[in-house]
Amino acid sequence: MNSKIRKFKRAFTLVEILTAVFLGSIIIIAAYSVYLMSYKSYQRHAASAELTQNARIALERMTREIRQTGEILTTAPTEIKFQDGHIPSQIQYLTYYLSGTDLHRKLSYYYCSNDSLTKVKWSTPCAPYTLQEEIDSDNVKAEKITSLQFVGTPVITINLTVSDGNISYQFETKTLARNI
Amino acid sequence: MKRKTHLKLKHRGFTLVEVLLAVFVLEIGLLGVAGFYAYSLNIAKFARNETTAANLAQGLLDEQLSSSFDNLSVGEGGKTAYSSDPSSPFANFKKQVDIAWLAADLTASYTQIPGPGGNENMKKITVTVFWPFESGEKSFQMATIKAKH
Repeated sequence: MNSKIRKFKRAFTLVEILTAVFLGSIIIIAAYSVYLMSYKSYQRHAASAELTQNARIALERMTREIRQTGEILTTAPTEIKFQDGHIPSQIQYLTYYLSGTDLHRKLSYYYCSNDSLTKVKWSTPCAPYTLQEEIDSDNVKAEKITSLQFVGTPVITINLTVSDGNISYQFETKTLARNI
Repeated sequence: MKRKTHLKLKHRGFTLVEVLLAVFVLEIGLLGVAGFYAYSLNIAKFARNETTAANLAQGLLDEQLSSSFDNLSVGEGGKTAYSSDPSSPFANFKKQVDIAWLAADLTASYTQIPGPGGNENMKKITVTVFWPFESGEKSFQMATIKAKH
């Protein structure tokens, strides 16, 4: 009787179970490390794509509007202020500047203090009144930009660095202000 | 004796060929996955380089457009380094600017054809930016037309 049970209902031995658990855990660890690697790679590529996207948008917007402008006001290397060439009848000015790592686009206009409804050029002599600047809007257009530089005129070289963690990319383009 | 044969039959292991075959098949699968990683890494790098090249090409085009029609010298430009500075982030990039006469029917030519039906009134500026990719080279091309006025 005893020997019969032993013959037909044999269980696993401790060594067999230990071996199975050991092999199983090796497979699970291997699978997990592959998963972890994929996930890290995915995150890195997503961050990388977002950086490229930000740089592309920043350069695209700036070059497009600088191309249309009729007058560039500043030569400060880290920001640029120019007349909005989109609606020449409305004398408005655009400023692209960095605040932290955000690229801002500021739309402003000037008026003489005696007539706040008439938009005038920045160079208008308002005496005896004073020239006032009013900000119409100031929005963030791109993020994660760590450096921005404008060099030269009328062909303006724009240098831009985007960074996130230890990823950092540099882009460069030139734009011709065609209406100056 | 009889018992021994019985054991041998029940506890047969894998043969060497079977194990080798299993390892080989597994290896192919793993290599395929690893290859996919390398491929996706390369594609991402290519996409970023293409964005860089597109911006550089557009910049070179705008630079050419800043000169007057007469100052654009017609001819095939040589392939030169984008930046002479080896520490530049674009040191790997090369540029080429070709300028051709362009007839009204949009046929480009390096030879000038005067008179009506000729190609004296337009110039086609073609900018190509090259960058190394794997063992070869990739390029991005942009072109524009400048008219005499």
